[in-house]
Amino acid sequence: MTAAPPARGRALRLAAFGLALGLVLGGSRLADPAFVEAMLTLGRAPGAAPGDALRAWATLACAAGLAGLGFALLARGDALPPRPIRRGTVPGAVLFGAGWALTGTCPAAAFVQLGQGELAALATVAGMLAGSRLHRLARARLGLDGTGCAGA
Amino acid sequence: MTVLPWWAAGAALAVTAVGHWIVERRPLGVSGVVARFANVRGELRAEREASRAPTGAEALAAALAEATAEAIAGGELVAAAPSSPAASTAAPATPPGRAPRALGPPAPLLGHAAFLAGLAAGGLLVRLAGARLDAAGALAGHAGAGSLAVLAAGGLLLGFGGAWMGGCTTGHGITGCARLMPGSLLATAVFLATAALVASVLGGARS
Repeated sequence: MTAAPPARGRALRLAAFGLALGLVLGGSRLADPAFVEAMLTLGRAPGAAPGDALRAWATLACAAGLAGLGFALLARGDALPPRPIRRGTVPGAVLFGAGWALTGTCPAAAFVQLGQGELAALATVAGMLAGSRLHRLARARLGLDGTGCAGA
Repeated sequence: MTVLPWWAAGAALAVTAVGHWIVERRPLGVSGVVARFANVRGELRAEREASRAPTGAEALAAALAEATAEAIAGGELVAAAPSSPAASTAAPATPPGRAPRALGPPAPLLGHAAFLAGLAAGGLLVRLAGARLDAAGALAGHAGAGSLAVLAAGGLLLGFGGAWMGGCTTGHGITGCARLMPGSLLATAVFLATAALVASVLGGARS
């Protein structure tokens, strides 16, 4: 804040937030495709350990619930951007859900997997970049709505 | 092997999401970051153009110095400074009495690169701590033969779908649902249901 240029300070802070998110996703196994598959099949996936599905759903519900509490207590009245229902909300979510099931991975988890030494996650990341770029083209040519979320 | 119990992981995710907003004044999300790197050349060009425009502290200082020099040269050395924007930027933006936070400017591309590197570093630390994925490689075993093609195709759907619905598991699922945003609640319900359906069909086909 004093001597260092603001861009560098911000990059360091964002690296810390990325590190926190990566540690949690890795440490809770939410970046583990087998765990995610157990969650998505409600424990019926072959090889799913008993309790995995419940643990995964409990983690996500706990995260959203406590974050809701945190936003209500600490960020009331703040100008957080609204997230209305748009034309792309449902079709985008259908494609996203299919991608999540195919890869057992959400966008953040793909980068965590890379750090865990799963080189196959490079294919997921390359696909995500290509998909995001395709959406950009489709938005320009076909008038689709949507962008990434306001972002870190 | 799980390192973190579900409640600790949930609490840590919540702290990360809320803390990110309070510190950065931007909602936490990943798909928006991916979208920027999908258009990295355009983003870099935009940053170069923005840095050429006269904004930022350096440009401001230069402009002030230039104006001062002109004033001295022109002999009009009057105290006209208080109207300059320097006074407003020097004042603290948020008084301790908790004024509502405004949405901040987006991070530079370097900041978002650092964010993604941080995600990977988190994965590395978890692995060093001993919590590795399946010994055989969870990803390689995940989709069987042709797994890389499946992962790339799935990634394509994640990238396209995430950008189309304007968020991902983090941005909609946690940050948006926590705030009960209609678009996030609908998006999350639909992508969870679709993912559950597709995973069950795939699981049935495999077993």
